[in-house]
Amino acid sequence: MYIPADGTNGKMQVTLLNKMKKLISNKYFLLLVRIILSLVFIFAGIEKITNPAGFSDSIGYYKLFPSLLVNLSAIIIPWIELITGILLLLGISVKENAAIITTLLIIFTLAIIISLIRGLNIDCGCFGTAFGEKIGLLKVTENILLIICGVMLAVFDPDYLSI
Amino acid sequence: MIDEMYIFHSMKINITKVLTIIIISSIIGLLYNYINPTGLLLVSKNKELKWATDSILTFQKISGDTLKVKPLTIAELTNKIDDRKLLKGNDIHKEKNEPAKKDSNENAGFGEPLAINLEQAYKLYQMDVLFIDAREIEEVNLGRIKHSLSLPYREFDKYKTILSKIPKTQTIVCYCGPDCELSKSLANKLFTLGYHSIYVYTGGWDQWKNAGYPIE
Repeated sequence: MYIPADGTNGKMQVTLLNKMKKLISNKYFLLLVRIILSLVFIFAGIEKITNPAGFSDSIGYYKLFPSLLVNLSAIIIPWIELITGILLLLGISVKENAAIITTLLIIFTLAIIISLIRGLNIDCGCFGTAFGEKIGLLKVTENILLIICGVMLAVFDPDYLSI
Repeated sequence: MIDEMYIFHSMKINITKVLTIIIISSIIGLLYNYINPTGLLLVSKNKELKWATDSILTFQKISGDTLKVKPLTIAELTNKIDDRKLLKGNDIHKEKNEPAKKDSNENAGFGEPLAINLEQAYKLYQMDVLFIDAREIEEVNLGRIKHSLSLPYREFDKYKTILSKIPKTQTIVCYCGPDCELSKSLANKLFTLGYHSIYVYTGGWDQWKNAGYPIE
């Protein structure tokens, strides 16, 4: 890589970083991110709530959690998703809800990565039984993008159009 | 570095709020589950399949011969069902949807689907027991156990018409790929539909192929 002796490359990097920071802290951009993330979680929550048995099966397929916790997770997680999604959409406690969503996404993504390493060919269960998505690198990428969205919201706490 | 410190410091997440949201959501979830007629048991039952013993396999062979409605052999089934057409996914809905014959005889079942290994699966295969592939059509098209039928679990409703031609007394072996749950899910589904002689071949397609048993 060409690095100018006068340090202009460093300056360019700083300018680029500042521009990126400006973009991701832009209130309209953050509002869009907030709406997308909240709608994804509201939809995921509703899908799982309408078919708890299907979601319980999906969790079981990962073979990561003790069978005692499978049903309990299938009962509670969808409601956490739905409620945090609604609160996020309304702009109530954005930081906290974004932090919960990001933590959930990190857990889901780790579960998918572990299952992929173990060579499991299972349904993701990400949106309950809707779409019948399988786990894969595409799913991991999607989740990482959502995690980035969640972190942005937790850091910048956009209160634009909040209740 | 200073910027990074600022970012983490600026997050200032209120842990009390986080816990409140989680606790309230959990309570709502538990209450909803309590009043929901399709709610789950709090502690899930052990969903692992029991393993079939060889003596059960022998019993099935004998009972198959003595059943009033003799189970269809694979050859008979393939004559009746144009499963090639099914594999290509064509015209399945145009097929005349014959209602399943109501069988008043008790099925020679064993209370729940049972898991079987490669050796047991091959033994049943030699007895002309029906094998059903629960994988998706695209995967089945790349290869399957010879004479097996395809009933993709993920598109069960689309392909379930094939069941109208399979008597409830038929002994069935479900399989899918290695490390997959489709065969188990399909077996449970078929069990609830009245097929009570159901096995799940857990080794799946890859193990069968590697063992050099008949494929197509």
